[in-house]
Amino acid sequence: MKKIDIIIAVIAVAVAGILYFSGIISPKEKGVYAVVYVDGNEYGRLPLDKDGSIDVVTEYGENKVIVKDGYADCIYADCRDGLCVEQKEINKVNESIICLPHKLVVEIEGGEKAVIDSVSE
Amino acid sequence: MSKKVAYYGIFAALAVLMGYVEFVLPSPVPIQGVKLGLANVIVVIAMYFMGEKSALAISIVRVIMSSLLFGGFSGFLYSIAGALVSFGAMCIVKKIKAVSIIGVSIVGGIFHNIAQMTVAALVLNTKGVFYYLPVLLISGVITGIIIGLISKYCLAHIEKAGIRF
Repeated sequence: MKKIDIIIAVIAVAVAGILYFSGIISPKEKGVYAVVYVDGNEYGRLPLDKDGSIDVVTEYGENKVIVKDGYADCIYADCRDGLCVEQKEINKVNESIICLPHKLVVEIEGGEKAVIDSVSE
Repeated sequence: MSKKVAYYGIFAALAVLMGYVEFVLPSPVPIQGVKLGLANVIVVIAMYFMGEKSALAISIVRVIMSSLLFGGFSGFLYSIAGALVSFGAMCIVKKIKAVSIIGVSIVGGIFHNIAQMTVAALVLNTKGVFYYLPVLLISGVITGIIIGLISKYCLAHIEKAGIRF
């Protein structure tokens, strides 16, 4: 292993660390809504401050997304491997749960954006 | 000529086998199709042992075979994106003389993961997947180092045994 190999590895790890800790992609800020997207379009949203659930039924398949104790989670999917059910529950802005076979993404959104949305509506 | 054909066959078969090992192992990110890129070990060895063009051919054959055997179509998109982008990045870095096989393999690992995540972002039409970028960068570095070391020792043995392509 040469010096430049170590430099490459260190740079990559540093970039990962900066991305993670600077808050560019993970702001560590609690979100307000769990928004369910199917194929890039909003399917529904759940406020994180009260328990609730959405049954997502589309041409791709079925998922059940719930909010419980301020966390959003995907608790059921009728796909082959159920990887989205394995993904951990989320409650911070930009965190996501992804179910590829059903083209489903659950994303946490913050308060500011929700305010802008309601004004524009 | 026939000796070369045999080498292509052995390397392609080994690459498909590594693809199977990867299929059995869990991915660092629970998104369908995003994989560690372990099969890259054969491509890296082929790159140094047989040359870049041969390695590219083996890589493409591997992706097609693995997708037919275990992947399915969405699996194919991820694998081919990961394979081609990491191959391109490795070729560029390999031209820099100061970088050893381990550096080349680290770059391959990182770009393999970036490419797969980009495909996920396009398929899902969301940037939500980039939340996993730090995990994928670090797992790319780790698999890159492991693959680089394995390749280095394999190549040393191949050379010691006096085997030439």
